[in-house]
Amino acid sequence: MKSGSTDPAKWVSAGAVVQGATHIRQNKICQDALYVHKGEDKPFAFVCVADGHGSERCPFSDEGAAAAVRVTAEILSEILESGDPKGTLTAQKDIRLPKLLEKEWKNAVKKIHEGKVNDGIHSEKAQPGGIQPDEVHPDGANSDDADDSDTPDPAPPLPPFSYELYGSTLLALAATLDFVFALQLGDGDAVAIDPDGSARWLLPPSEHAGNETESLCMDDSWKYIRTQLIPLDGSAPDNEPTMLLISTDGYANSFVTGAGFLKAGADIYRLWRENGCGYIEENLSGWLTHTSANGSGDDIAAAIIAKDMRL
Amino acid sequence: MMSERNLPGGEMSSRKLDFFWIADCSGSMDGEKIQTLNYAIRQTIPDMRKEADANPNADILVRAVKFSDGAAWHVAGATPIEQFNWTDLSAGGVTAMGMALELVAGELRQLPSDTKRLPPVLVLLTDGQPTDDFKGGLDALMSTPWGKKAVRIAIAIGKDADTSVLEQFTGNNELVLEAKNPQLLVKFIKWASTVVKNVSAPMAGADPVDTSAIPVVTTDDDEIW
Repeated sequence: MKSGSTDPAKWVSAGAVVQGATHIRQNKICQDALYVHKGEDKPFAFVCVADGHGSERCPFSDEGAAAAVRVTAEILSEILESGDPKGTLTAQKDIRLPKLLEKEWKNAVKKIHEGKVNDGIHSEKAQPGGIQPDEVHPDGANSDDADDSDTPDPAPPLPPFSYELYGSTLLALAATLDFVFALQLGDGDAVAIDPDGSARWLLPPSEHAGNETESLCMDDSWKYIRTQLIPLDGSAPDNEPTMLLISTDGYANSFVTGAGFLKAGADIYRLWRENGCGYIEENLSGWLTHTSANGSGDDIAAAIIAKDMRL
Repeated sequence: MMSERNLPGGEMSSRKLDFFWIADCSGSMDGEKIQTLNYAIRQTIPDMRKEADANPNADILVRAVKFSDGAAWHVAGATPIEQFNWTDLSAGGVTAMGMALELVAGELRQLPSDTKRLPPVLVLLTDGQPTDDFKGGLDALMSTPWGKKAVRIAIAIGKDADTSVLEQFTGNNELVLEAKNPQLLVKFIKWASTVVKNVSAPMAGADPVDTSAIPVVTTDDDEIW
């Protein structure tokens, strides 16, 4: 472990999104999306992931997932840039922020659909997972995946607009010098790793069995958004997370047990300490691809925020 | 190059999909009905194996229950489709459908209620009316978390099957398929076995049953049972 700085540690972030093994076999584009704010010149970092439902009733859910991470990033960025992000989130995390997220996502997908209507376009061929190209590591394994399957199906008529067409889950993390914040709607996992290296769920995992999930497309979806704000004031240093992980459900569903998934968080933390952030950035995409192939077969988006341990 | 040694996380596994055949072996099934049922289920095995090959991230586990005077496991225990074989059923007795559902409920109760298991698929095949406490059996089934989430399909064989009872089982009249002759029974059984294809796909919020793909009854499918 590299150490030696007595200043409050900054946060750094990394993430990857990969097309699932089943989707590769079935020639389906990745439905997950990722946004990584690096935080290099800011006193904060944040990351977002989203999982488009991918069912026949949700043909544009890849775009819905991309919209979910985009609007969340915009909203979080504004809050974190404000004078009192901790106060703002404390005041708004339970009602105002969830309502704003629902409203902005619904506005965004409605606008996307109106664009399709106006342009006479059935379905844009989205970047896999709606990745922001400059936000993920250039060696990410996903950037070319969708191009392997570019024989378009004959376009059926554009269905009438409904939010369900774009249905998606959402998870986000933000960290500053004095708090960490997590937000989740639907399935997926938010995990905290404590200074002793142990991993725990930051928000309780979904209790839905099978493929059911809550979604941004639901009526009053804001009511299903769960949040957690942990102050970093030194009052309980053993419980102040030193790394945070969010992932879409394809990651945890790849392991036999929940403990096996938590071990993934603990292992990534150990590898981070031993090898630095660059090592995680280089390898995360490959790990996720391997995990999907040997586990759930689902797309996986995962993102990490950790205390910068550079000297 | 990725190091296996450094691969984060514990033991991995594909997702489990539990498939149940629930077959009526009462006396009225004797003759062509039970023969066709045996033939059709045997015919589904290669297709289900093919589906399993195409999707190694879902393990298809098959069980079968038979019911007449009582209910019993015909294929006990979760059998991987790769090892699944069908032994012909024979007919005789009454229609203890409620007991069959209770037997399935007991098995579903044993399944871990984790998010990574896929919804079970239950396919009920019958030509008659329950002669026991059907409601008790259905209540037992629906009291289990997986019973509620299961994809429940009923195939009514012939004109005497009580479709109102089967609608209670499926909760959706579109999933009560009326097989009025042997050809339709074969088509419906084959279609029911393909539901695993959608259920096994990793699609959150998906409706696993594409009812538009249910075989259509044509004028050639005249009623003969």
